[in-house]
Amino acid sequence: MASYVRTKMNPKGFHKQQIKYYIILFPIVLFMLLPIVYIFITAFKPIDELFLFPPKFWVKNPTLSNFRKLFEAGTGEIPVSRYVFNSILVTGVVLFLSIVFSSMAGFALSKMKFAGKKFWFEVNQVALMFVTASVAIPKYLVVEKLGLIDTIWAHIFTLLAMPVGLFLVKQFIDQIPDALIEAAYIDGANDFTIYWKIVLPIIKPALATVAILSFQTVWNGTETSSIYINKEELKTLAFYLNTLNASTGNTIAGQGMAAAASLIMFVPNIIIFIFFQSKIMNTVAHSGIK
Amino acid sequence: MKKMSMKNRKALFGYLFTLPWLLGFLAFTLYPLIYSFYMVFHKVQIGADGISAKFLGTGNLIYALSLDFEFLDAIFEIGKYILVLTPLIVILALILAMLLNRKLWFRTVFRAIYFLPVIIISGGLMSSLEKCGAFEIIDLTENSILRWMNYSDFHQIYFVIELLLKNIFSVLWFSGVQILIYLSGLQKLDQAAYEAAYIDGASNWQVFWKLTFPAMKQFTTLNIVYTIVLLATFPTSKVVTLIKQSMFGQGDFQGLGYSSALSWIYFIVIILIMFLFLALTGIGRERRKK
Repeated sequence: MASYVRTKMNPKGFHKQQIKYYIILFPIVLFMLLPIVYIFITAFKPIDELFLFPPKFWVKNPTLSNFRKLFEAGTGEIPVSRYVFNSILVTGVVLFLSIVFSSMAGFALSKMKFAGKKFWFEVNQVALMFVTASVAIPKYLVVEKLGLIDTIWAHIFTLLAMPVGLFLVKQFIDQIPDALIEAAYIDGANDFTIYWKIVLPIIKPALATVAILSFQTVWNGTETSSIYINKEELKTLAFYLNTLNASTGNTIAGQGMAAAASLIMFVPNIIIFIFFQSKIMNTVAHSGIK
Repeated sequence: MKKMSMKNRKALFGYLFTLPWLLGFLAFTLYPLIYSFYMVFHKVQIGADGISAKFLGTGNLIYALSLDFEFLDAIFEIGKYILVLTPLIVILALILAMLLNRKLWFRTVFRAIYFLPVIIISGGLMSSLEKCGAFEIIDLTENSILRWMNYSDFHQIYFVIELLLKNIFSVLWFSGVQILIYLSGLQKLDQAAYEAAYIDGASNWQVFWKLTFPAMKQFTTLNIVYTIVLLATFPTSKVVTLIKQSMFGQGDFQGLGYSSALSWIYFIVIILIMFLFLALTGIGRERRKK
């Protein structure tokens, strides 16, 4: 086991030998960052620069007018802060519960023995491949029967069982050697202790990935707001910003607002990402799996 | 209370762990899926008095497969797209993961940037990016060699290259999770085996094919599945748009039933593509064993 070496794998300084890797990695990094930089730049472009032809990448006279217009357009009965609150509440609850649910189910489906576990995982895998948009109406019927229309729960319950999440988590738990789990059983641990003390710490990187993916779906999703919710005060920020874009249509002012709106939607993504990425990138090395 | 047998107790705990996820899955994924299968064979209309379904038999399916050319075109297009891009994405992910597993200065920063696109490729943001034209920043297809290829006998090759260049962002952007999966696999490799191989005089090339690649087999399968799912269910894909459009259409072959039929056909095509890829990798595996 050379794990003590691996955890200190990042070399302290730059070395000539590394150049060949940077030659490949660096251009691709720039390439991947371009569109993100573009989102930021576009949001600050004044109208005449947004419609320049041929389009320019950089902004000459940055302005905040796009943001000002965006919030002025929103002076309806409901303050923008209400949408922000809804979004944060829904995203927080879904994030937490979907991590708990998918890790518990992943653990059971991977390491426990009971009838039908293979079947449920296969069904999940099949469900993964189905276009989610096409089951929107049957989903609506379920939500209606459960009496969840026009409640905040319609946002939450419909997104909790995330097939991709379970898929990734289960595959990760499969990597944990059975011997590790058996050793814990022999030492007298029960299922919950094993889940809490052994499985969860090991699959942290997978959970961080699930968290990011689930954050994506919830934070950027407009589907739940437009289908299950009629009350304006229960809709989410993503939906609100989307209607702004839609209602202003393709007007020239709308383009600027759309750019500002995408930046506003995008920033929390970056923050969540930076928050979770260290976990994703680093815990793998400490997990003790061989 | 009767004492339960060990086996039953274990099964009970298994179900207990799976239960929260299972409930959500049944209500919001499986039931809608089955309901949409029911709708495939019906003409479904939403009226003032709720939903009415008239039995049609296989009418929806036959019409979609023989006369709906827009849909068939879209299916072929996305089929080609998935067939070309999936191997590229998976191979690129493996190469990048191996590079990012090297001892590099600022390695974590690099890794973070490569994973970053995962947070932006969610539907809403992607389409607004597309609207802003962020993907046309660099147009590589306006190149004299390529144009010559297009008009010469190399048209087939041109098609692949064009697809690749036009989707170069997609290839890089869709590879975030896959890179991560490979990275976690690479970090679990036994360093001692590598040292032994190098001492025995194996070249880097040999080490890759004899050690790294076989060890990554499981992760490759996982990545292929993930990539196909990601590409196929992406909300901006043309087939998904068509399915959504026909959902609320009023014509003869429109509406919920027809849109369900379209999604089931699409679903089966995707499954077939996936089996094709898995079979291909499977055959490779058999050969190596001999």
